[in-house]
Amino acid sequence: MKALIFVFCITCLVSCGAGSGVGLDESGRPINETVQSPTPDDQSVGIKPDLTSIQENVFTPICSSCHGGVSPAAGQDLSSIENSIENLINVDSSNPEFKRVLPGSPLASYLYLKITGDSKAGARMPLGQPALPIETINAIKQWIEQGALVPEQANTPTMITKVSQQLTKNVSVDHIIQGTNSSRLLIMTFWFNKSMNFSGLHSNQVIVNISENSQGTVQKINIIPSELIAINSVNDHVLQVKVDNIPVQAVGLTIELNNSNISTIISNSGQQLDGDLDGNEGGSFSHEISL
Amino acid sequence: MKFHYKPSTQQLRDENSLAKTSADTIDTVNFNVFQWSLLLLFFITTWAEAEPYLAIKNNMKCAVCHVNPNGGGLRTEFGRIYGQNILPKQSSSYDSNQLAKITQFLSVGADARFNARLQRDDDGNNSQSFEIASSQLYLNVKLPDTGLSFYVDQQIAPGSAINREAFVMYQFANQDYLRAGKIFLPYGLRIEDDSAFIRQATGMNFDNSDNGVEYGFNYASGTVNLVIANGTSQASNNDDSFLYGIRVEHLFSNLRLGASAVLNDGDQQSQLFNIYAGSQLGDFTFLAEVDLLRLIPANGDTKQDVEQLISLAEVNYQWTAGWNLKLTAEYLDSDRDIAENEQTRFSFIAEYTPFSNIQLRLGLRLKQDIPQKPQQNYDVIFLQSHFYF
Repeated sequence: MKALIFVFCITCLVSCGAGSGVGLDESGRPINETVQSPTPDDQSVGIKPDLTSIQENVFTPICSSCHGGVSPAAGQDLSSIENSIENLINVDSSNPEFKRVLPGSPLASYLYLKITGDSKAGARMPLGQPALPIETINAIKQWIEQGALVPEQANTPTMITKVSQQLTKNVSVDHIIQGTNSSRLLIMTFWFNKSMNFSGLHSNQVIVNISENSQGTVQKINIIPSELIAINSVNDHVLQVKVDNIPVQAVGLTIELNNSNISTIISNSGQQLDGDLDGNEGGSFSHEISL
Repeated sequence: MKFHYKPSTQQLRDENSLAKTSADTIDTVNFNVFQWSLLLLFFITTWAEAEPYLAIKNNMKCAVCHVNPNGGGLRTEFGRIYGQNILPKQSSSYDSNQLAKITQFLSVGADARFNARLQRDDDGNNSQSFEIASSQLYLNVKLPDTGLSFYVDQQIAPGSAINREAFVMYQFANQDYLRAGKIFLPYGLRIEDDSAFIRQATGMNFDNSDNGVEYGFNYASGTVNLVIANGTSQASNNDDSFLYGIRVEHLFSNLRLGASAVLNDGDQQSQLFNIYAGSQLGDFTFLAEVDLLRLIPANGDTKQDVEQLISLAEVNYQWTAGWNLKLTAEYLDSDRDIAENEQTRFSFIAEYTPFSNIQLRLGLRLKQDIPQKPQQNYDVIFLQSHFYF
């Protein structure tokens, strides 16, 4: 009797089978739903270091089985490009040391640590499944290194996703001869989430204020003249701003971009920068640093 | 109290029945049974389901073995005794209270799972590894004469420490409870395997707690859980809506039936329903759950609703102390509007508990997806050691 029950149970349990996949693409979606005119880039085979390709090859077919649905694991819904953008880029991870994706920095991105099985990030993802192929991991790494760009057509605002800065001391011969204090050079790098059109942006459209310490309180505000500001487009999504001759007594600096009274920064698809991060186009972007 | 008593599972069932009868009946039984009955009365609260087949096999509410009303984690005094004396082939004679009960009001516990895995997929990728699957420490502080307790479930490995649960619970005199904090939501059969389709696709797993408030109604042969939570699994709510859930479960003599419903009314509305059942027949224990998941895009989104169907069937054969054979079959249709996209997963697992507090599991899992996803068609053989107290 027991053997009979056992055999019956096994028969019942294994009677289902997986789908044949007829008429479906590699993501399990109907082929006629995803037919697109191929572009030159689409001729290449395999995953590419852009979010569209990563979404189609990794996030949707693999990750979203847990990171999707009613209650996505860790509140991280990766079931669509819009959700992936909202839940990954510059979002705090469960480890306060890391962002889930920090544009430009794979090693500071929890996503990359997770898929590589780094001990700092706990269990390797995908959980309970084989590790991702090395070319997939490299594509994700490269996407992050390149600034975690999002597709032009994605229904998300154009934003600055990361700002980094480097402060150096200028010690010139004139300073030594004149016995004056040396000044400082600040190089700030702005990472945009979309391909941008920087051609119309000039140094006089960037507002830089410095604050100085006066009698123990920070209060004196000076505007840096535009002649001391230089802008440089590193590529279509990275902008560098150099501010020279910052006096040593300056203790803080504020830089403002996309002030609608004097300039508007737009993406190559014509979308205005969402500087104030309110989800709508426009608004000035202000960034403060302590010197 | 010090126990060196090893009742049979049938005795346990009888004693559980006793616990639900009148005090007059308890007076007539022997001292050992009286002790067990007191324990059962004390710990029969609500529901927990790290190994729901054990609860179904013994026809007990799962919270008999776990402090957490919604699954896994710290064991109650009875749960520790069960793991020490009933589950293993050979039980040890130490007093588990000396290990886990620091004071009358403070108890601790742990689970640690270490795996050796061998995987192969249809894309030709092979991998083999040793890994710490998970290690948790639990702590429960029960304030005397107040009904209040504070519970923490902290994952300490692998990687950095992650809090899984942290809540304050108030237990009413009638065993209803109210708890608030970071909690596992009450939903369906909370089996131990987080990678099971019913746990993965619904997000209702041990890797995914949420911040909210839950009220649990307790009656003699069942529970009703009501919950409201952020629905984001995050520290704060990122929209102006909440997740609402209800689970109802009733225990019959050899059968339990339950149903759950969840509505997560965020930008994208999600609806989730399930029915589940468990039954015991001799040495066999059967579990089944069917889930229907509906994802409704936000207003203005041109995407269509997605409806998913997920199921699990499990058979356990526990013919002698220390041994259990577990067979599971799972099915996932990730979009019911699309044909031939179904996934299946079959597991064959032998569980051996040679002595108290350690369980060895040897398993084979066969995951099948459509041929276009060769990496999602894979076989896994694993050997797991599970330390618990």
